[in-house]
Amino acid sequence: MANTKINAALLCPSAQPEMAGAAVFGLVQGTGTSPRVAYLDRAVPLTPELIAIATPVKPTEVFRIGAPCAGSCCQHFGQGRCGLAGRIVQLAPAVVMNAPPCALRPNCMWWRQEGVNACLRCPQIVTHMHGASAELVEAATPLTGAKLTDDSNHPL
Amino acid sequence: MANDPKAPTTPAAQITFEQFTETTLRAVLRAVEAQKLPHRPIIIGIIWNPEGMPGIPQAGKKE
Repeated sequence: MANTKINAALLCPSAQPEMAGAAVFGLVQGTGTSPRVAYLDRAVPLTPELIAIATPVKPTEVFRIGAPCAGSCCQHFGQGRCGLAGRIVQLAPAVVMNAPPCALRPNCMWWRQEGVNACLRCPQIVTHMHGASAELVEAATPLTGAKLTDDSNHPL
Repeated sequence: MANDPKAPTTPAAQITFEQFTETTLRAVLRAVEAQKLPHRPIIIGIIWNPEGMPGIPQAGKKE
């Protein structure tokens, strides 16, 4: 079960606020149609106070949240890999010229798996995204064919 | 092609912790604007897999 151990130590860079160990490492800037994540110089634990700051929108519309990879509890995970990271690198364009300084990177699942190609695409990702491009919709679709809309995403 | 993008010319943004509150407010305003877009929102991130959760019987299996 080596994969399980490895993934338990890695962090998902597009996690949900309810997850244990959730920390904010980026803030979504840019525009409604062209979001760009600005990366914090250090990750900040996601507290109820921080969630309140995001009101009236969801924390996942404002923050990029890291939390331990959920492994097989996530529909994107299979054969020890994150299918989402792989599809983002395959389908989405690079949007920055260099990997951004990122507090999550040392333990980031996407980085560990896809390297700098994931980092060059990461700034366009909003976890709860309105107006996503067709490429991002395809990338975000798990191979299980689950619905992507928010009502399908029930936390523990 | 994803591997043959128009060469991006912008560096990624970075902010300090001291700028955090102000930047969060801007992020909330951006999200409010984004909610006006016609398409339904999607989740780009973890999507829970009930069958992978401990203690939940998997389809076709008995506990």
